Amino acid sequence: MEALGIDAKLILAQMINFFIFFLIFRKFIAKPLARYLKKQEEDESKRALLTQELDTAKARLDEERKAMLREIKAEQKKALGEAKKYADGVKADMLQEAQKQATAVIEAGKQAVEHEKQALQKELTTYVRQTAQIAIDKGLASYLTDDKRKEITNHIIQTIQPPKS
Amino acid sequence: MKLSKQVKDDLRSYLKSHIDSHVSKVQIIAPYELSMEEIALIKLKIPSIAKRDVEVVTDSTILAGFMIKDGSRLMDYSLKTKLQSLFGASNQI
Repeated sequence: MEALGIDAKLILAQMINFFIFFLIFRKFIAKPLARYLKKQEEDESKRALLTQELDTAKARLDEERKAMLREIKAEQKKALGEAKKYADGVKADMLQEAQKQATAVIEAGKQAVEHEKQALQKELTTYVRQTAQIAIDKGLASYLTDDKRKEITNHIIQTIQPPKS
Repeated sequence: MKLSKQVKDDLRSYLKSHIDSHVSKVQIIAPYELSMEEIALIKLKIPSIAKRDVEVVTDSTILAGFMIKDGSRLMDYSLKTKLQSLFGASNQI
């Protein structure tokens, strides 16, 4: 072996050295590194799981939010419809009431005008009759001579009906 | 104030005669002085005043005809009142 240039002692020493290195490596480097890697892998899987759960929760929340928005919109639409319906009813009632009041005012006005017209007509008729009576009295007073007065008086005496006592 | 019996009797008889003279007299209101014939005719037509004294009062505003005033009673036969009645009746139409 020496002829081949191989030093058995050196090989042995190197083998022992390698073995010692292997032991030290395994004891102080390989195992902690493996634990570290394993822990990293576990953490990664936990993160992935958490991420997945978070995504699921987010999706669920989004869906719930969308559902709530739809519900709110539907409620809003319903409330608006009801408010519009109520407002239309109130508007119709107000219009009807206003029309009724306007009709009453017009009717009252017509009646007032009619009453005033009748009162004026009556007043005018009374005035005309009184004027006519005064004119006739005055006309007769100037027209009737003593002879005429006597003639009329005698006619009245002739046609007199004795009063019922 | 006390009155003696004599004064009371005198006052009573005076008032009685005064009332009797007014009650017994009938007033005829006419537009002119009525003649005796007209008064007689009126008395003939209205027997209630036939035996009563008549006082004629002239009032030209009654136009024609006459009115008889007997105390508080008034019998109206004047032309003016007839015209007024006519106008009153026409007012009710």
